[in-house]
Amino acid sequence: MTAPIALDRVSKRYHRSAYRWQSFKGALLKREWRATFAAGETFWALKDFSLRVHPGETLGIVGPNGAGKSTLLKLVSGILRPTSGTVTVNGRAAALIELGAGFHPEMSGRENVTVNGVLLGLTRAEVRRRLPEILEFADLGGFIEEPVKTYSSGMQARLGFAVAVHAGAPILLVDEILSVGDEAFQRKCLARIRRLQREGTAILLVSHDLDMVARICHRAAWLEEGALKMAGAPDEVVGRYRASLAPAPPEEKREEEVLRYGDRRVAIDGVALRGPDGKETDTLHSGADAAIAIRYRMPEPVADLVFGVGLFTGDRTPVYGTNTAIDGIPLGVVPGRGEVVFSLPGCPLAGGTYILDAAAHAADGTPYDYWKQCLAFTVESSVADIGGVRPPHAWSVRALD
Amino acid sequence: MAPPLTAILRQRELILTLVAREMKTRYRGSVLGYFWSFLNPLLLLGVYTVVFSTIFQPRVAGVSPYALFLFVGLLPWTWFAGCLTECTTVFADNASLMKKVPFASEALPVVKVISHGLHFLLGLPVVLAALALTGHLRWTALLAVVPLLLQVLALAGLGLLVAASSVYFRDFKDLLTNLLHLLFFATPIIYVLEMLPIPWMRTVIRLNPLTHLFRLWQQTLFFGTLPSPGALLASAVFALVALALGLTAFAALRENLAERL
Repeated sequence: MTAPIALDRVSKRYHRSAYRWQSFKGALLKREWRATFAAGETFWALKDFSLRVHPGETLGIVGPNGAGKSTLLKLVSGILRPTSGTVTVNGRAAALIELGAGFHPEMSGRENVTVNGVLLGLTRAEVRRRLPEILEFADLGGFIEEPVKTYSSGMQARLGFAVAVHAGAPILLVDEILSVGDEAFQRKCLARIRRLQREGTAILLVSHDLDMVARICHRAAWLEEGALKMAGAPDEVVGRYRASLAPAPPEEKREEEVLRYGDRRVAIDGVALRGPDGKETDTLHSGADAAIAIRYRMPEPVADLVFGVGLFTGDRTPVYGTNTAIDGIPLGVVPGRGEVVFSLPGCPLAGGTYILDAAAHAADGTPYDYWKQCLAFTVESSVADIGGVRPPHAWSVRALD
Repeated sequence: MAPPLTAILRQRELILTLVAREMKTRYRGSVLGYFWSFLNPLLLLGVYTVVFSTIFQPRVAGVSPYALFLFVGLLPWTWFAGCLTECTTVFADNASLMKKVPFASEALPVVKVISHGLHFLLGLPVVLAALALTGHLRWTALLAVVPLLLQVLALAGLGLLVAASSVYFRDFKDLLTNLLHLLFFATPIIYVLEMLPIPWMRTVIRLNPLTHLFRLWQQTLFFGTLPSPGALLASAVFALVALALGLTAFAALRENLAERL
């Protein structure tokens, strides 16, 4: 099978000043013809870049701003032409390059869906047929009849994404769209992307949301200054990229002082999240067994050692916190290295993003190693309930007459 | 020149959708809506009639009523000039679309040609009614479809040329505005060619291809005669050359349009 997307030694050069002869004045009066036609200041947004996206594959592109990620997407979509090299796209590509691009502010959401769908290559009849599904996905209620200029950016993203994923294109190009919109919609988008993946859609995704890249992509490519720095398994690429982003040492120290403190008489070496199979993961599933493992190092014995965990939602709202003292767990720890495991049988968390604090401290609260935000993870849920903790619950109904 | 032409034909759906969008948004929020497309030319005709029957009374041989003659030329001119003027900014106005959405950008100038053409058609009943009232309406009015078609082709070509060139050359807009003023008077719309006193002037005006296209409008609608073969030939050549020129220019310039905006 031919690759849906193939870039072969593609380079793209931009001219720093977009107009070489913007006006008569420069061209005629000042006789700047020669000067302006001489090779002005240029820079290479992409240089000798080759890449292949295989059928059914989701490839995530990561990299700092200005690395050439958006240029890459625009080259694949055909908005830009390469300066040299070849871009081959086999099949219709639906591109979602910017939120709200192509929306007319004066027209209603519904009218814009038609125009957007046709721009993505559907016929009007096809858009009409898919309209109920698109509107249901966007879930804008009565707002769908209002002009798009009244929409929030989140609402525009929902509408744009809804059209793009229903365009039925075998290739989907997405640039940083999912970062807008609330948690519930993001989850819906992810579910939809998973479905497109199952259906064999080739997806090229540009994102700064590294966790998402690691979670949904089959492969990731790290772009830096217009060149491919690394490609491979997403968690590996994301890990290496993230490490390269780590701030310089002095800065790191300052950060650490706020987020992590204590005399380290007991030091936390690492905190890991484990799924039902006991393997390390960054994603839990609501209802499936989960565990948080805290690896520690204790050179000398300490008195009344307590381990604690605190769970927060992404916006630092406390969800649940406890420690071994509260739970009355005796800790027979001996000096050396060890592991404390906080088990969550049938993980009772609702879907969403969570942040974990872990701590080793004395019974009186004196911190040995208090590590805030040591871990961020996602809980996926097949149920669309809301909140943090999902308490055991039941419903019953009875008539009162 | 072939690829853009086939692209245009392949983009029928897109073009029609964008035309519908343009028609819808033009009068959005106005009470009278589409009726304005009809009302504007009616009011204009009223003003001309008053001005040219009471204030000025131009004596142009064989042209009576003068206001109606003027109007028959003015309506397609409004289409011609309005369309090209908007084509100078059509890509800049749709910059976000051009930069963020992959689509056949030749659709945008074509949409302008069609939407302005539709406004022309909405105003046409006013002309026809006025012609009927003054006893000028002949069956040859049906042949106005010939200049209509030729004007669509010519405008499509010129529109593509103007739209793409304006992106590369910002002065084009002001240049064109002045050029259109000049062309308006270089085309027999407010006068007839034969009344020009100096022979070389007539020759110059005859060299203007629009002279022949507008002659077709006037012949079929106002004078009630068959299109003259000379005017027909000249207009057809003009339309096809304009189209070929526009398609060629667009094919050459399209590459960097999104980047230049």
